[in-house]
Amino acid sequence: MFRRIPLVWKVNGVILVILGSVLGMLTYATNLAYERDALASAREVSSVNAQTILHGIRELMMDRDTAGMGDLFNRLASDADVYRDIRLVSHGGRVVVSSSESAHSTLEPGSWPCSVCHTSTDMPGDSAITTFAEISEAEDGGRVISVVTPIYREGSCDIAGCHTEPTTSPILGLLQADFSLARVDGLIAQRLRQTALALLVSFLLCTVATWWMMDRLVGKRIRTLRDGAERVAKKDLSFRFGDPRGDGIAQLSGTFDDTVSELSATLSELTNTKEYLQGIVESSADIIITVDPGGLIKTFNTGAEQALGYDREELVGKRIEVLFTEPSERDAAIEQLQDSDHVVNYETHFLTKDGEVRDVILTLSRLRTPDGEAIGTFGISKDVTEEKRLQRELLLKEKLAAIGEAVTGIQHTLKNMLSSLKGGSYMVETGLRDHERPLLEEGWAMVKEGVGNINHLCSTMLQYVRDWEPEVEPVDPYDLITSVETACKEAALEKGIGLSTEIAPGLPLIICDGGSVHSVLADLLSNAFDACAWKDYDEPEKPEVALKFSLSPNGDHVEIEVRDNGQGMPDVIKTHLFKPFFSTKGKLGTGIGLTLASRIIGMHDGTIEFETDPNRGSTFRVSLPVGGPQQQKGALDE
Amino acid sequence: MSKKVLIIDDDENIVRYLSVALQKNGYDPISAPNGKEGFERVGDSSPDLIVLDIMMPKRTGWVVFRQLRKHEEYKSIPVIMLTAVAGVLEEQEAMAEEEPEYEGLRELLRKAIQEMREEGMERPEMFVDKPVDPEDFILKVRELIGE
Repeated sequence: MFRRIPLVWKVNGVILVILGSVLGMLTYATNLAYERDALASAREVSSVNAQTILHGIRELMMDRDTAGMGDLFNRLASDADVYRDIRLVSHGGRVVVSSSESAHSTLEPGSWPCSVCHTSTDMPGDSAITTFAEISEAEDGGRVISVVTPIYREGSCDIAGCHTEPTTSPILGLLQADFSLARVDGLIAQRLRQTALALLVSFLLCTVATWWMMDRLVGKRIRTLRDGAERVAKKDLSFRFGDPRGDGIAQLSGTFDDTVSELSATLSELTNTKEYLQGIVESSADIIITVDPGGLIKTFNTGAEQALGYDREELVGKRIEVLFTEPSERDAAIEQLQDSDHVVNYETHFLTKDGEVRDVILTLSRLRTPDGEAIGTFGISKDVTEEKRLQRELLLKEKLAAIGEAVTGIQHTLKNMLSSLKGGSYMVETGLRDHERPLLEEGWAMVKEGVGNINHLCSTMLQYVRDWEPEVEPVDPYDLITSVETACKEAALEKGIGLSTEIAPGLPLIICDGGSVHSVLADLLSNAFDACAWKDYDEPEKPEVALKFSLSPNGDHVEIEVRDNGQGMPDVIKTHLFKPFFSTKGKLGTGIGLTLASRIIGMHDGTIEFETDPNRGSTFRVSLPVGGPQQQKGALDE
Repeated sequence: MSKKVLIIDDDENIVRYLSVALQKNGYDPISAPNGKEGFERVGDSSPDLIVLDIMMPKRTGWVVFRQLRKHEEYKSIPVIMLTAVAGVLEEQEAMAEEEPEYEGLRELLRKAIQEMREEGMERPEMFVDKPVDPEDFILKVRELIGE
């Protein structure tokens, strides 16, 4: 409860307690001194008064006028109310004269005033006149100062005849005068009241003054500071204390202002960064989703809403698995995430609100704090459903186009071949009709040739479609080039083409299917011969074909080059060169040769490339790995 | 005097049976095995009709055809072009020039025809599809140059 009291009040309270204590103590001390002085004065006055009375009754004692003394005492007591009692007491304790009714009574030994001498060690001397005063409380509650003055024996006492009996004591009796302290006490009480009043007034004034000062110097500023802090807490960062004073609170305010300024700048920067990042996330057409470590969706951007048909309110806080067509696909992605914190281009399927399956490519990243603690997963997905569909369509279209091209090519080839059959059968018919046997025989030969050509086409087509694996073995390139040259030499000679071969020294054995590579090279040479045969050479140029074997710069491939100076190929043909059943050679071609060559070299993990220049010639380059195709290497090593 | 028909084709079989068909129908066939020699034969044989294959060594049928059409003396000699894609060619005549679907050989043909048109040449009088039927062929020859 004490803690809830405002600081100003607390400080004020402490100051007032200190002030009150100091004032109280001062007042008490002053009053005590005043009372002491007053009582001392009263004592002195009372003593003088008692001496005066004693002096006054001296003559009466000499005259043994007891009645006169009684009168005197009574008169004194009735004239001034300050006298409470005046008594003359004999040494024996008998009250000889009294202004009250106590005359002739006897005092108890040891009681006041007998106790002045009879308990005191300081016994009075023979001639000393000493008064004793004691303040006591009267029966009516007022205070009384009782002054006792011993009466010593004098020479004249003997003359008076009263005290003739011998005695050892110099004291004959005493005079007791009791004075009321009512006036003195009244004065003291009045002063006390005045002091208390003054104290109260000054206390109140001090309270007001210190409260006002404290409130102005501390309270008001602390309240401002508190209000400012509350505004800051409510994100109103425009508040500044701006205290021009140089005291501690102003310094605190200054620090507060600086902190708020820095906070404002930081918050502004943070807000900008946040808005920027949010902008990126929101404006992205991709599906961006973040998930907490428990698998609950935290962020679901506009791209995700558009792609999946959900409102973010529907999904935030829900389990991420609801989006996956197959939750196991998500588990697999998360498993991959454990290893590297990243999963890139993971193909999966999302389910839209309408139950439609979307193909997506997902990239996941683990979100971590700077300390490395995992705080969730960040996923960007791209909806590729349409692309996939187009891809499938394109694939189908390409397949259909390829089939179409192949059919056109086959049809073309067949038409060329059918000419022999059609022409042959015409000649056979004509020979039969006109009885011309030579015509018939010629026609029949033509028919047989046509059948042979079609048969060849069929077997090449079968070769194209069959599942084929190269049967590799170490092949000596020198043997290979010789066998190819031998096989093609005659055809070159027949067409008037100069065939040259060149082989670099020290070539290694090539791991390959020797028969297949031989057929590829023979085919390339045959094409080169045709390219030469079709060209109209200007003198002195002659048709020439060169076959060349060399080693690649890094020594792991044998490079085979077939170069001709034939007619070359226009651009429009280049792109179709390796397509099946594409031929520009009329009856000479089936459109299979280069397709097969490409496939055979591909199966060897080799490459086949060409360059061509219309009317200047073409060069085909085959590159074969010396070590053979990769997948068969191991088997061969064993 | 029988009319001369020059057959320029590298396919010996076609040359042979078309020659037989022409002979049997009263024409005088002459032949050349490639475009280059074929053009040379035009000069020394003065044919009434030229039968021209397209895909030929030395000089393609198109090259020979252009030479003929550009030649003052030969440009009026009617030409029958032999092709495996005559049907396609007829179709291409009608199709839009920017039609992108045709590729390869068809594209070559299309371009050739287009170029000819741009050069203001008359197209060949006739296209005959391979395999050439000898009897149809004779009918077309008659149509062009008569008996």
